[in-house]
Amino acid sequence: MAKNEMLPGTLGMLILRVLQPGPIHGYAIAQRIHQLSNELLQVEEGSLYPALQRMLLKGWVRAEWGVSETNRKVRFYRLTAAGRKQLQSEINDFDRVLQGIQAVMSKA
Amino acid sequence: MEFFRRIYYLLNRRRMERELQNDIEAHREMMSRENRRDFGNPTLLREWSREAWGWTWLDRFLQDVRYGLRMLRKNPGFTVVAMAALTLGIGANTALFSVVYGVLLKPLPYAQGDKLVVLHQEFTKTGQNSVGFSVKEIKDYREQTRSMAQLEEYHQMGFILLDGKEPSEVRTAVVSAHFFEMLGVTPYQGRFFTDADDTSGADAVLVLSYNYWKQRYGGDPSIVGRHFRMNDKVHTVIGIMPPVPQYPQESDVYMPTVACPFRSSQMMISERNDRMMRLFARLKPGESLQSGMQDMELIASRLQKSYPANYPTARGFTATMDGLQVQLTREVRPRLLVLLAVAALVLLIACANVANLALARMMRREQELAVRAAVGASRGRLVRQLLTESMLLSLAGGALGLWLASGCLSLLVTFVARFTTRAAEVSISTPVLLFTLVVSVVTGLIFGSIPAFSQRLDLVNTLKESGNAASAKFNRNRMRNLLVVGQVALSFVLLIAAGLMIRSFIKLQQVDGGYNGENVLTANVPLNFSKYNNDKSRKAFFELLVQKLESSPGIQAVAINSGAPLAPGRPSSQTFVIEHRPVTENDSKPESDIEVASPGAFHLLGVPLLSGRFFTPQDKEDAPLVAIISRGMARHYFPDDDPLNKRISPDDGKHWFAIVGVVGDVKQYGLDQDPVDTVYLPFDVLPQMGTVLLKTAGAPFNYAKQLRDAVYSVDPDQPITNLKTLDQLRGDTLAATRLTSLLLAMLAALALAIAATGLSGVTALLVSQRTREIGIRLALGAQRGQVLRMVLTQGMHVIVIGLAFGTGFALLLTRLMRALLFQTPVTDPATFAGVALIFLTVALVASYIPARRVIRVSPLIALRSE
Repeated sequence: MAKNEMLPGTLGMLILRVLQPGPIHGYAIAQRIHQLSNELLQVEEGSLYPALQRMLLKGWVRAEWGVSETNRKVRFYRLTAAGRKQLQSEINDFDRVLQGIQAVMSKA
Repeated sequence: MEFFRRIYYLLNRRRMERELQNDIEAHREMMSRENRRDFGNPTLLREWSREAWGWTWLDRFLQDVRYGLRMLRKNPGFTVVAMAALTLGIGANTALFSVVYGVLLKPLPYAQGDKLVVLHQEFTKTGQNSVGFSVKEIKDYREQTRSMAQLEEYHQMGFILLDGKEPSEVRTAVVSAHFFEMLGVTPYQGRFFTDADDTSGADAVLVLSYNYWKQRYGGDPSIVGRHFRMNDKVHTVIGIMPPVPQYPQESDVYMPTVACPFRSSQMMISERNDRMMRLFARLKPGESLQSGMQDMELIASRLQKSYPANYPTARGFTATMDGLQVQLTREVRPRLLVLLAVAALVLLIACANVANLALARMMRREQELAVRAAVGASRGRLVRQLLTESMLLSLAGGALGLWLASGCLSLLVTFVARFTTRAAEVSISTPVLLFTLVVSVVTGLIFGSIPAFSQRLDLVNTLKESGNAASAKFNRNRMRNLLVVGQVALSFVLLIAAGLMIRSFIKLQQVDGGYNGENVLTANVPLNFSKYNNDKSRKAFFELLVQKLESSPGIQAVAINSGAPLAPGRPSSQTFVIEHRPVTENDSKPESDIEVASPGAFHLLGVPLLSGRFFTPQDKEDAPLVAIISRGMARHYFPDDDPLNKRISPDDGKHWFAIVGVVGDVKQYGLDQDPVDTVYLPFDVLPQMGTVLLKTAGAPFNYAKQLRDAVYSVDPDQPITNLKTLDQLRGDTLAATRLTSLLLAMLAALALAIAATGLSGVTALLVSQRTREIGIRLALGAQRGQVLRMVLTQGMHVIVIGLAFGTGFALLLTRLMRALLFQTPVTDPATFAGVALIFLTVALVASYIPARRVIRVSPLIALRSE
């Protein structure tokens, strides 16, 4: 697996997770994931923005206008109640899959 | 929720896109300089993000539509021709479908119209398959039925209505009390009949039809309660029918059976053989037509057992029923179905034609399509684009077709009104709109997919060469030839259908009716029988009228008879006995029509005397009784001996009439029907019905006023009806065939025109593809005439193959229209040959026009071309 690639299907969970502490804008989401993963993960804009649009439609996040640290008008994404619920269920799913994988890896 | 958000995004897409764009730009700005180089294509990024909204298909579709519209605008020639063909094709189908729907498919506008039936009695062995019912029989069927909830009688008569204005004869429906209840209609105003109204001795009451109320009384709201005089009695209006179509015929007023002096006469009530009424019924819930028919048969067999004298076995008595809707549309159904089939063929031809045009255009668009494929358009996307274009064309054609159909609808309605009272129900209704939409879409898919899927997308070759991909071209040419063969074959079938119909019409027109109708004016003078209630007063009226008319200038002859030839309506036939020829118990008596004629009638009508003599003024009721018979009757009943001086009796020997003459047959009831056996009696002996015939010096209608004045001067309360010339009456009976021929001929001409443009196109293409070759031939010394012949011959191959297929199809399909043809076999060789000749001529002209271009080809230019 190349260094910057992500496990398929986990991008949504990561985005929701980094939004949990409070609303941030698109660039910050990418930055945060990059930093928190110890620069192991790189989010492509080509995946980030379509994913954000999907989440907006699903109602997991809401966008609101704000001003960035560079003094630019930009949209901040905020986790909604539905988003929190979705994050929890995705974490649970992920945990189960991970346990399964680990079980197989350790016994086989 | 998500669904509503999607809609919200669609409605606010401008703002949404701005916000998305801002996000992406901000992201890029905040990136460090070297990272920014990795940032993808922002436009593509936006597009990917937008896909999440789920409206991409709509974007693409709108894009296709915009592009399609632009392409259609850029090729006005193609667009106009294709749209015209589609408009005509879809328009014809829409118009005919709206008639088919309104008349054949739509349920009757009555409560459970499918349960309404019409009853018939039949004497199968004497060929009478729809005799009426007598009062006694109606009672029997009512009492014995198991399958029918109610049986209601009906007959129509003309009565004179006096309302203080000009006297008028009104079409009067005489019905039993619950007739309206059976139909399930409710009064528009007032009430309908009750059992009390239909009890003998009750006050006479009337229900007016909606149309009559509107036309004669201007919708006067106070009409209910008004009194009219009819049949010397005061009639009170009690109600108005709602504006529903009337079945089985249009009537002006309705009256209960007791108010009709004929229906309520003692003779009518007691005589089982006086079958004047029609009988309608509503089936009980759960009963089918099948069980109803069995019921009728059973009752009929019981009647036959109980009254053998009234139903002689030799005549083969039975009874049956028919759905009212089927009965009402029996005559029009085959015509409409043939016309609809023809219209469908026209549309198919139009389809083939447009597909052909589109294919030709496709050759010119090859480069464009190849470029689009080269920059990444998938094959599916290109096909969708081409289909969108076709769809735009066909939907526009459908819209225009709808407009065309609504314009021609009144023409078709007049046409079907000749055959059924349902004509008034025809309109462009929702089902018709749906039909047009579906037809348009299907049409677009059919003619659109032929060019769209014939597209090879042979990228390399197309881009490299200037469109000289030989194999693709060959395939497409073959497809085009196939389409033209199809058009030729189908339009040939239509021309044959129209040709057969026209030939049948001509044959019908040439039928000798057995009389000479030139310059004869006729009118009914329906005497008010309560005023003229005996033979003497009736005779006196007509004697005076004839005197007045004979002394009028320009009137060459005057006669009175019972009915003009080919006038609608037919008297009931009459049985008789021939002297010295006993009739056994189970044998049927001879039967014929009885007509009444004044002495001059035969001469006036030009009916030839074959033997004996005509009536003379001396043939009066107190002189020896005489009769004249028709030629057919003489042959039928006196095949071996001379009928003259034989005696016949219509009333079982009470009166004997000596046959004094035999006259030629007259086609009294239809040019396409065999003449009916007829006995003529002198008017003086049976002064019952009066039709006046006038032989005039000039155009008969110039004498209408003279006739009217003469009648009014004898009796100012006396109306005259059905004022027509004999030629008009003849024209009326031909109208159905004439109109059917006309409609078919119009559709066939349309098909021929469309096919001819197709042929022109093929030849034009042929010439342009072979310009180079033609140039070489010319350079090598070929004569221009030779070259022209060569091109035409090649075009003719397609036509001849098409004609061969067309002949095959025609032989298969024309069988369906046998019922419409008169003395014309469906394989009539003359029609086939004639139509083929017309077709070849048109085809030759259509190919010659583009082929002429070879004459102008300059060898030099031709060799340099391509």
